[in-house]
Parts: sequence; structure tokens; C-alpha cells
Amino acid sequence: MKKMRFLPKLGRGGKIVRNLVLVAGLALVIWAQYGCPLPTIDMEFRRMERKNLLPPSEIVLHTGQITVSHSHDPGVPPPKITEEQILGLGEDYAVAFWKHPFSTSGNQLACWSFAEQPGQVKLVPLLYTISDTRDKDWPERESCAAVATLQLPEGTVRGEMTVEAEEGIYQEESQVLEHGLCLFAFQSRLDSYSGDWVQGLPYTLRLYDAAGKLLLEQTGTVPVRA
Amino acid sequence: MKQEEKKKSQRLEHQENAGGRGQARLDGFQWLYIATRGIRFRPDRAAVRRELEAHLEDKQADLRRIFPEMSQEEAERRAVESMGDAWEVRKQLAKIHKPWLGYLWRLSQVLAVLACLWLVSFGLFRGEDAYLGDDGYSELWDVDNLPGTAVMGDQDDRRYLPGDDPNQLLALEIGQTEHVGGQNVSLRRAALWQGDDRRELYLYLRVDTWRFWERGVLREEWMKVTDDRGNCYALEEGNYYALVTAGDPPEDGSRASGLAWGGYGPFHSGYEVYLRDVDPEARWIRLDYGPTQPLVSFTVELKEEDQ
Repeated sequence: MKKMRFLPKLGRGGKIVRNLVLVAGLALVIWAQYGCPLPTIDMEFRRMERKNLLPPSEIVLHTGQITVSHSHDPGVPPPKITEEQILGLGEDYAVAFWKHPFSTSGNQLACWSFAEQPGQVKLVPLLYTISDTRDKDWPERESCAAVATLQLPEGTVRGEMTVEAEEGIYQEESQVLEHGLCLFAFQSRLDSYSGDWVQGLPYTLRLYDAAGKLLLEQTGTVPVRA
Repeated sequence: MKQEEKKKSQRLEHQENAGGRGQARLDGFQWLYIATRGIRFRPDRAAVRRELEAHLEDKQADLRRIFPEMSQEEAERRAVESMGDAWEVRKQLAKIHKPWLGYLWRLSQVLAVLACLWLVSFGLFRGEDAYLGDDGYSELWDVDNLPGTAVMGDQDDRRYLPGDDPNQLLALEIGQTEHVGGQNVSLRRAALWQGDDRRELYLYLRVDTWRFWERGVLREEWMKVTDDRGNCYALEEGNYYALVTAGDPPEDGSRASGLAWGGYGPFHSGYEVYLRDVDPEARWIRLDYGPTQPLVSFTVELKEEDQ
């Protein structure tokens, strides 16, 4: 009995094309199953913006590339930010983005509206702790909660920020980084590993010019993530 | 027989490696070995060899049929001679049969098998079989403009579809759509119900895009709901339970306004907004969505005569 054929008999080239199309389709399904991860944090950030219906913002901080100042324990190297985070500046808001190292569903994006901050300088807490990498092994490293300050007055070269917590006052300083922002890294005395413990605490911010003259003193409360 | 052929092959290979290009008379096996040796992709080599072998055997059989007195060895010798110079045939076959196409074919097979195995094993372990139909909130596309799936969402449909329940004050199929950042945000349906002591409004919103890798989401904290009488309806976090069990409120009566998932698929995300204590005098309700300035806004007329 003659064998019925429902599909045309393919040559070598046809089989290759068929197999590659099948592989591409399956790879697409697998990629979608893992949350469509993109290769770089910038691409992930842009995608998160689009998912949240936001227009593209200007990236003003990319934490994977910078070293922050840290005032206490003078003489030791400053901590480096090891968690990859991005800060974007929109028209009247800032977006903080943290990329989960393994899972796209763990990515976080927070939006900080400037309308809710009365002072001239706007504060944007980062979403995740940063690590104090001063010559310590991983388990002994300290985690710092970081706050970025944006829209600094012209001529600012250095800033100091104090935060009043129940256990006492924390004071940190920062040089002005690229894109004209300061980043303050607060290390909790209570061994808190939460990155948001500074949120909601009263702060005082002082900004100085190159001659050490006080340009601005601002007080308020560190914004709390909704 | 196989062992013998293997030994012969090894001998020929050894001879070839030593640089020997045998000019002596070749038997059928040797001729086939030499002629096909230039084909680097083994499955192709085996196929060509089978074809040439069949050809050789046909020739031998023909000779034996025409000259019945001819010996087997003589017939084989003549058949081999008629096939031409083995080294020349080898050169020609090597030129025709490029190995990369064969390797690519093999690679495509391996990749296809690996992809299937990956999907079947890891895919199932991850439990991401939502679109197969065992999740009441997932479907390939929102075919019915209602939260939940078309098959399993009948409990929710009751709220939005016009019915004869006297407590249903209004059921609207709205379909207002705004295009934001490559996403279509639309208010699909609204339903106003009279609860025991207050009015409740249900709204079904959908965000859709063909770019499945950036399927849109709505955040409760960015949704502002107001009405024409100046009321502001606060959406409280974590009211998913209150929303999905709207027909069966908790005993303490703690049903607050909220935003919750209302179905999803590869190209769409559905959301339901539930508002309690809707002002009976309100003529319209306005939804503004955005972190600061509204990215999208929808207005729902609540008085039937205004529609």
C-alpha cells in the first residue's frame, strides 16, 4: 500500500530551514517563559519604563560604575556600589530601577514624584542596599541604604546629609557625581539589611561650593515609597 | 563479515595515511572506500556509498546475466573498471558534498531536540503552563472583553453583563482606548450595583500590546479616582481578595476600593477597579492614571440618560 504523504518531502536545505524555524519558535517560548530577559540593565530599565507606560527618562545614575563617598572610618577605601541600579530623570519625577540578578519578575521600579517634595533639591532613595566593600569578606560586608539628591544648586561640589533615626543621627557626605547629583550611603547601626530604612526619616541636607561656602540647607523627610 | 570489512577499511586507511595511492587492481570494497572517502559528513558518505554499492552490484549482475560463464571475481573486476577511476570519483564527490550543510542539519536537529526537552522538563517544573487552561485568569486573548477567561470567568461576567437583577443599576460596554508608549490602555466595561447599603462600581480595564515582552502593567498607587462631586476614592493596597470575592464579602465588612488582576495573556493584562461607597449623586467617575501628570484618563458616565 502506498504511504500517504500529507507534507511535501523536504530536501536537506528544507529540513534545515524547518528545524531552525522550529528551534526559533521554541526558543521564543522558552524566552517568554523566563520573563523575556534582556541582555543589559539599560535595556531592562527601558522595558520596565514601557511596561509602566512611562516615556523614556534620562539616565543620570548607573550604580554599577561608581564609587560613593563614605565619611566614617577615614583612611579606608570608600564603598563601591555593587548592586546594579539605575536612576532615571523624567519631566517631574525620577525613576529608580533595580535589576534582579536572576529573575525578571523580581525587577523593581519605583517612581518618585517631585510634586510631593517641597524643597528645591529632590531626594530619590535607591531601591536596594549597596555593599560596603572595604576589604571585608562577603558575610562581613555592611549594607548601606543610598539616597540620591537631584537638581542641586549651581556651583555645588560637595554635600552633607544627616538623617535622624531612633538610634541616633547618621551623617554622610558625598562629592557631586556625574550628571550633577550626590549619593549618600547610610550604614545602619542596627545591622538592618533593608534598603529602605532611611525612608520616612527626617533629614538635613547641606550643600557647599568649591570654597566651602554653604549654598543651601534643606530639611524635610526622606520620601517613602508608595 | 562486518569484522572483515572493518579490517579492510583500517588497512586502506593506513595505506592512505602512509601516502599510498594504490594503482593496483581494486576490488569493489576498496573502490567504494576510496571513492567515498572524500565526503566528510558521515551520514552523506554512508548514503552515497550505499547508492554506489547498489550500482556496482547491478553492473555485476548484468555482466553475470549476459555472460553466464563469467566468474564472480571477473564480473566484480569489470564492474569496478566500468565505474571509473576511484580517486577521480573521490575528488568529484568531495567537491559536490560540502560538509557544512550536513553539520548545520545535524546541529538544527540537536537544537530542536534540546529545545523540546527544555520546554517539557524545565518548563513544566516552573509551572508556567498558564495558557493551557488551568488558570481562571489566563487566556491567549481577551476574547469576551471580560475579566477572567471566557471559559472559567462566568462568576465575574455576572457583574458586567446586563441582567434582570434589580440590584444591577448599570452595565456598560465602553471600549474607550488610549494609546500610550506603544500600549493600548482601554476601559472595556463598567457595572454599577446597589449593595446592601451602598453603591459599588466595577470597572474592567485592559492594557494590550503585540510586543509581548513588554506587556503593560497598571499600578494601584498611580490610579486616582474622582467624581464630579469632588469625592476622591482611595484605592487601598491588597484588596485582591475583596475584589475577587465581591459576591461573598468578609464578615467584618472590610471591603475597600482597590485594583486587582482581571486576567492576562501574552498580549494583554486585565485589571478590575472596584469602588465602594460610590456617591449616589455622582454623574460621572474619572480615572486618572500616572505617577504625576495623568498618562491616561477615562470618564464613566453613571447616569443612564447621559449615555
